[in-house]
Amino acid sequence: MAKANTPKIVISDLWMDFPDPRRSKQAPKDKTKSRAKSAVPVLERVNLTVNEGEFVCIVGPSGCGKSTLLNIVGGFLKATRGQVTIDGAPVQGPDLKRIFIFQENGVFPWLTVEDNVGFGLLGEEAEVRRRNVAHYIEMVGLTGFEKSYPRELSGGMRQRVEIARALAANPDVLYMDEPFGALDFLTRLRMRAELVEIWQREKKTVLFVTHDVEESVQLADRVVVMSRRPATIANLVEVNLPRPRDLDAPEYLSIRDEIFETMGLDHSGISSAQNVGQPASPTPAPTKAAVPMRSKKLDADVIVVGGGPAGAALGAYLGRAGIDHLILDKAHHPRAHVGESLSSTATRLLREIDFLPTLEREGFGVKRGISWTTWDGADSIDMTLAGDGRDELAYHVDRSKFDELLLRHARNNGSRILSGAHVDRVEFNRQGFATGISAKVSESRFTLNARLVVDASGRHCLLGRQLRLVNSHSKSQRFAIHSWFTNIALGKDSTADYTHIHLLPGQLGWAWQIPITGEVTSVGVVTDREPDMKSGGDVDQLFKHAVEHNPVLAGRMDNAVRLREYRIDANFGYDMGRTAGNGWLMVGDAAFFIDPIFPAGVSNALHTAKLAAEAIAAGFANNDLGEDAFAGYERRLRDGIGIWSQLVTLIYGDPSALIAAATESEHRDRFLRLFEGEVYEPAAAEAMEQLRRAVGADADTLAAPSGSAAQ
Amino acid sequence: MNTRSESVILPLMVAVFFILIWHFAVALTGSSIFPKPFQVLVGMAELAKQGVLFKYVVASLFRVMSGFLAALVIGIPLGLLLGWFGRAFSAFNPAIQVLRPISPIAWIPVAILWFGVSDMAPIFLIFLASLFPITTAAMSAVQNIQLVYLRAARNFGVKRLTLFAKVVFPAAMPQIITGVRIALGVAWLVVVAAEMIAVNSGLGYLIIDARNAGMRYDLVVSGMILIGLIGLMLDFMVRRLEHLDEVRWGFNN
Repeated sequence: MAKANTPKIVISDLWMDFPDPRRSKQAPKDKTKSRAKSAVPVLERVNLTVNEGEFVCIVGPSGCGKSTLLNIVGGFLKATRGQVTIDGAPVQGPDLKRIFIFQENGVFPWLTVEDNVGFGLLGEEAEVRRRNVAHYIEMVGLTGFEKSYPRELSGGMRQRVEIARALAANPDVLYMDEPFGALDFLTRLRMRAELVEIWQREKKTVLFVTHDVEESVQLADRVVVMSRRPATIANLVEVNLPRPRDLDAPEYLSIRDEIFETMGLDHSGISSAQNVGQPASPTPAPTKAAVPMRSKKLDADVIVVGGGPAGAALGAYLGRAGIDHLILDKAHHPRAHVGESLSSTATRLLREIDFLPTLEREGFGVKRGISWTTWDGADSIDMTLAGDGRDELAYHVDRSKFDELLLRHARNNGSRILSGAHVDRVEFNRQGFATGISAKVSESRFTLNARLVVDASGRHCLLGRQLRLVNSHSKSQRFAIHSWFTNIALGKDSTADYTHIHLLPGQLGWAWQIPITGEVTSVGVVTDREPDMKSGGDVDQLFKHAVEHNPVLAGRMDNAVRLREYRIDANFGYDMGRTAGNGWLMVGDAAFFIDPIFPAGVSNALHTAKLAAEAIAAGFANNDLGEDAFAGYERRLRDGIGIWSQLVTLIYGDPSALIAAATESEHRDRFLRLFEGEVYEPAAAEAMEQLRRAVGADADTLAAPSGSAAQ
Repeated sequence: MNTRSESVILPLMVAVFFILIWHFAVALTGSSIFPKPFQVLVGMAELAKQGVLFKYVVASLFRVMSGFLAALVIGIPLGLLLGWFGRAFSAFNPAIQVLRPISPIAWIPVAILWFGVSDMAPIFLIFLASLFPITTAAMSAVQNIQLVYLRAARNFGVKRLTLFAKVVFPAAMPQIITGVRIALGVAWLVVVAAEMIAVNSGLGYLIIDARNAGMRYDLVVSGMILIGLIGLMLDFMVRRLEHLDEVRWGFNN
């Protein structure tokens, strides 16, 4: 971009000391004392020329003195030594031609928006003033808010008022001191874009202080990198990229990394901090291989990709453990309404994170047991969750509502949440450590840095696909056709709020009947036959055909009214080659998915979230977030998945034999515990083995889920 | 849940409760001097019929308003100046801090000596009582103005009188209003005490006179209740100020 290279601001040999608060009391006004004893040096030998119309950003570690520098240039502070000239004249104080925009919003709260914007025009004629005020209010998009008071506006709008107030005074120069620092992430992105647009139109000279390297590269013609205190200019980086800038372009990233590197050298890790006075080592040398040194600023200690039950539960656990984390959630919109019957072990975990009061308050249905009917309707077995040493209830929930409440609960427990963020990859460094994520919000791309990334992206399998870890269980082809119904007979009162499983003969599989609310019941048929998705008639026929084969279910559905279209879920079970690695973990459906039909999504999400939270807490405590630290997590997950698979296979393989075995109370208890999600406990393997023996199944056929096992 | 009706009904229930206790306490002890609630009402009606009720209320309010307005007119500018000019603050603040803790009641003999038994004595006491809260509130309000507002104003080239009118005063307003509210409360306390001694009209005089001239405790309690109700009304009026658009930013509601 061609610039008229007329020097506008010239800073020459600027030094600044602050009086030492501890010393100055003992020796006030003792000017003969040496500098080291009576003062804290803040700036040293700063030389900088800013050209007319140039946008210059000053970045540096926080507390380095960059705001002090801007305050000196702005005329609010006097330098200890050296001088600043503007258009050749030394700066004597603040001036209407050079307006300062403050870090802590400087808009006057006792004036309306229009009076604030007109503040710099008090000397002008009323007509000129009115026109200018209207013009700049429109430019910053606040038309309609002229009569509002700042307290009625959001943080971003107040910052716009301040910008409009500055521009209305028609200055040559704008000084901006971290003006967007207090704004939330999305507003910050938008404000940057708007600032660039305004600057291109108005052609002011801008001197902009920030601690955010990304921000500086996005905005500036030149970036001034300050060293840490006493600060001097460590590097000057030209940013010769067209605007608006593509934050994914390699040129952009290399400039950004160059600045990071300068600042990283300046931090130069532990070595220079410990050996004060010795020259900083040229490269940061990680002492512990497991945790790489990072010079980049961290956006969070842990980034959780996905705000579904797994991500939200993990957030709640981490929040309660005091671990800083950010949840990136894709969805603004409500999720699909699917009913799910939670397991009783899920209730236990939800109690741990204090979520039960919310469930109670929202009046979700309670499940007290499971009832099975054989295909001929001749036999049924009711398993209650209470008693036999179990004190649990479980809940029937509407998932869209449940997920939303759980995510809100995570926020109440300390999760920071960014909604509408589409994460498209996890970033890794050369050592193979996850360093953060790259995402898109609206049209803006950005990267966020963290010490640990947790993939809770659900069936989207962000990391699994990126690292090619997905093993699909393509062999097992099964389909679930389901919908919500009303006017269903629920059977006898004592089991009305149970989950009912109705077995069907032969290849037809089985059906579920789950009360969602008092009126609404979810009924689904699980079958090996692929429904023709295109013709609704076929689906309806298939569903009714299956239902008719179980007299109990058929009887209950005599007067049923379907409330919406059928939904069809196909089996696409999968697991991952790995579920954890250097600086990353997977939880919930992102880690594995055994069967779409068993309503185990929330249960698995909660269990894996809990295990992950424990592993993460231990990792932070030991300062080790490498793959070895997560080996235990990976092992427990693998064992749990194995047992789940066996159980599902057992149920599909010979449900009648399973039910027969479960009539014995000892086996029933075992089965119920496993079915209710206790597969991650160390004792689960033994219980599974016992149950398998009781059913009399051959261990070999149970090794993996297999659709051909149906009778 | 209707919080609005609750905020009316609950206090009413408490009031009824206390009046009942009052009534039965007097009835049970058989006191012939202390009045029952109903007798107080009758007493109030008697005062109104005689025409002294209105006269006394106006007299008290007049004294409070005179002293209080004088304190506003002197106290606010004084406080602003002392807060703004560091040297003036250093010079005068110690004197203010010595005078401030002296109860206005302690000034009564001095007031009578200077002004005699006239309206001026209580007015002077009320002026003194309100002056300190107002002055110190204005002073510390100026000292606590956020630097960013002053810097912004300087940046826009605003100087002296304009600076005071457009920035310093409005920025100090919320804290000044809080001071004014405290001052008015104190003034209303003081007027009653002053009227008991230095004059022969007003609600304070009513109370002391009713006792001295025949142990009319029904009138004493009437006077007390009137004082309470008028005090509540005055506080309510100052509170309205907190809702003005120009100062609402300074209050957390």
